[in-house]
Amino acid sequence: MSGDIHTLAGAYALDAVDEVEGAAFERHLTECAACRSEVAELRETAARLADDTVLEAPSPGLRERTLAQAARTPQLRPGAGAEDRPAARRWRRVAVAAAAAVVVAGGASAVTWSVGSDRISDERADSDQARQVAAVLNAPDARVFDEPLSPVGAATVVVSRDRDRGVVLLRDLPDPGPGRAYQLWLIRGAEPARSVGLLTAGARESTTVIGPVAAAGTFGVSNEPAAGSSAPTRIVGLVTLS
Amino acid sequence: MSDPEKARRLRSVPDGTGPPDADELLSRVARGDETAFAALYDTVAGRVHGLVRRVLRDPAQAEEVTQEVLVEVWRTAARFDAARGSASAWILTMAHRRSVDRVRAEQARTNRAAQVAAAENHVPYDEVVEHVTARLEREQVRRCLGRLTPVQREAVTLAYYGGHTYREVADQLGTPLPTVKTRMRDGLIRMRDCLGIDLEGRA
Repeated sequence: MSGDIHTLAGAYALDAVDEVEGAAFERHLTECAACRSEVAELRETAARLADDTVLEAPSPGLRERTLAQAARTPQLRPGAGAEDRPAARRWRRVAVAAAAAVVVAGGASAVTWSVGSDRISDERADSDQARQVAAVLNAPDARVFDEPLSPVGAATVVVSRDRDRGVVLLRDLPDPGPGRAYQLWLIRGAEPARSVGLLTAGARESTTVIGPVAAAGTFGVSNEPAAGSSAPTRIVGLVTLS
Repeated sequence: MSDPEKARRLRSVPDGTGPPDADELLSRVARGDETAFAALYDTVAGRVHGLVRRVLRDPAQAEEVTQEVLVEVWRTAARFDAARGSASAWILTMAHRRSVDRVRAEQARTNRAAQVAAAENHVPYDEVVEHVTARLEREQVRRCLGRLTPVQREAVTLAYYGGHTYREVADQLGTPLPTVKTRMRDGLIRMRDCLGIDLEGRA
């Protein structure tokens, strides 16, 4: 599949991505210099669209209030620490959201958490799961892959070969149908697909940790009976992990 | 590229007749210069407010967010990196993101949609308060926007002015997600070339 994350540059420059994608894309930017310069130019372009919005000068009161508030607001020193950068902050929010996870299933070779929403729980953020999710998202070798699913929905997969784990973010999936669920797979070469997770019946989004991923070349999502299948039957999306 | 628009580049004001250069003002603001901040306010507040109001649709909220954004500009001025773009784009990006965050945080979507329909007719511009430069820049933006294909223009403006995600835009238009993503990117690239935006030379 060729619809890689890079095509998000336009939507990103327009702030037309959701939090998860924005964070994934910012992660991608840290490792792609060409993308950074494209995004900078597209942002510059998008900002020019503001030229066409000026209707009237804002009220004089606003000027006074703004200048007065600035006068009492201390300024930051130059040189943002890594912790303060929006990308890092956004990414960590996603990591925490991903980690606000509930264990639903664990196979012999697969670790799986699933989360129904992005609600963040501070207690859970401190848990082991959180640390494991964060370990993947913050791994120096983490790479992000993003694909639309068929007919709708999207999958974002973050893979760390060093940690031998991946984090899968699925969104906007269509209702799988009564008594059916989405199942996650890893595929290596010509070997049979290996199941790495099964969502709750009817679930339409999830954040799931998968592994081991080291040799897997492709991630897949399929629509299966709620109990899961031993091999994918109705594939709705594939993400090439390279 | 021999695009005639390129010759009309207006990024930096060539002589002393236009408003002061935002980049220069921002670097003074970063050193705590309150006079420079007042001048920067006068240079960018119209566009910040115009943009925020366009996205939020609510005059009271628009003033609140405009103030927030400009105080944030004051607070974080030292973090601005001129190598990565212009000061005005930095400020307007902040303004846009904050407006969009607010729109998405509120669930008053249906309400807003009705207001969008009612407000889409053009409000007459107050020519008097506009600088000539600002008017030329606006005309250039319109001309360049006019060079996009209709579907590109629709995708770009729904996202930017409407504050919608590309998923919402795809839903509204009944168009597949990858197509909408592509239209946004291709549309912005075409506008970039038309406006002659090129950050290569910044260091």
